[in-house]
Amino acid sequence: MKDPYSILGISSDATDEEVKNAYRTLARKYHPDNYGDDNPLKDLANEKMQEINSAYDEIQRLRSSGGSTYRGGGTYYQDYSGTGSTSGVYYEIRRCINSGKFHEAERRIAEVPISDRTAEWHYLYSVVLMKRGNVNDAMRELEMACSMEPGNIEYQKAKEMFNTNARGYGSTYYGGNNYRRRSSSDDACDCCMNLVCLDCLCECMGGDLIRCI
Amino acid sequence: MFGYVKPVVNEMLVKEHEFYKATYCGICRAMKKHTGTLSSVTLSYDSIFLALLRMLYIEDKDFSARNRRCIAHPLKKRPMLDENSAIEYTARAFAVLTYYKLRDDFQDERGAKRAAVAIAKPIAEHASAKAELDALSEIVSDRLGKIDALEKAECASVDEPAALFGELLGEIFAYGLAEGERLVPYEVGYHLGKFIYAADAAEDYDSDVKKGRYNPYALLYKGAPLTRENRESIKCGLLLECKRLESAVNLLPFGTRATIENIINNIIYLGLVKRIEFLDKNEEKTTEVK
Repeated sequence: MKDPYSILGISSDATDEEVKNAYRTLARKYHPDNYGDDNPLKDLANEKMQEINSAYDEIQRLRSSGGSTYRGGGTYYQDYSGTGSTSGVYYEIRRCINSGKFHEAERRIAEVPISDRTAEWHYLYSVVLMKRGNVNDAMRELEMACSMEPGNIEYQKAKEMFNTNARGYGSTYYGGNNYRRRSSSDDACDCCMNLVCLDCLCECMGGDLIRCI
Repeated sequence: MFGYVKPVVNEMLVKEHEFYKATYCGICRAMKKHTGTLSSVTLSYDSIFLALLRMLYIEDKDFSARNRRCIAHPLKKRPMLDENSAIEYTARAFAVLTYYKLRDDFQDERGAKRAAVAIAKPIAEHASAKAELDALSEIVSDRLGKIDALEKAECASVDEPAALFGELLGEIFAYGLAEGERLVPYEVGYHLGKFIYAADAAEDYDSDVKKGRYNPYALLYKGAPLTRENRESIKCGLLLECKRLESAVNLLPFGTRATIENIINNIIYLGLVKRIEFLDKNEEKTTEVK
């Protein structure tokens, strides 16, 4: 097996906190939530996730200082049984979506005659499109649903959810990886500030560290 | 690829920017050598991303550069990356892509633009033939043809033609790699292609509506000027596409070539987002200095 520390991208003298952070960042990156059922990269991401998990376990074993072992967050589940129809064709479509039968859902959606296509139709179509990776069309359908029924909370919620998801773009880039991030101790301002503080402390005690301030 | 795939330069380290420029010069040199001297005038910065991505799949980790002079910059020697298989492939693949794109534009454009295309087309055609990538040429020509058919049929979906362009770019990114290595570059190309097509359609919305040309967004918004909400919705779709792109980029063989990786990350996470800033602005563009 490869060196577990290099898998997590840290050095072997990293603190427990650093190990945990590195693990969390990577686990978030390769979490199955980021690779839906239709994503052809799912298996690769899974392998990567397992590699990270066993590297983390290995480090925990090596350090075996006890303490809690953290494992990636819970699975995320969106229920589409929703507040909408409780009977009829849309209810059937919602049931298909909830049980993961997206192709059947799509077929049923297409069968609805154009004159009967309500806001709910556009909303459900949007959900299916999103599942299949047709994100741009999904946004279009959702917008249509929202404009047809502006007060509907379910549609607004879905829109918010997609927006939150979209805003998350690049979060692993800014937050997680070591790309040019400076720890605060490297900062010149911080260094000066520390000296000033130290000088103040010395002066309180009657001494002086830096004479000019 | 229409200037979509570029880094935000002021966020780069100097060595990264130098490597980036040296790669460009390397591709330019390779084009002169393999696809004809004139063909290099058609080169765009977008090609660098492909070269960088393919360099991740070369065993040898050291890429050497030498200071050389060229016709375009005769006064000062510049560092240029020595040729490697990734650079050679990029030069050839872009010759193919450029030609078929121009051929496509020639049918669609009118006026001065058509004249400009008419001048460049024979050069590109010659270069494309010299590229000797017949299988790839066929794929590119096939996908562009299918996109054309969808556009003529006034396809109401954005994702359908976008997916075709995604397939085209995916094939270009993965072409010639070993079977086990193909999937991740293909997916990177696929989602990048989808993003480019959709972003391009969004950017051209106003001018397409004015000229009465096909635009997939125009069928939804009925040619009315886009409101702030419409723009937000389009942007959200584009960013969700980026998220899928991110899931593929995360699986690239990163870990040992920091300079290349940082440039790729910059392009993906900063460059693309910057490129769709036009969706945030309702009025004229302003430049911001930070």
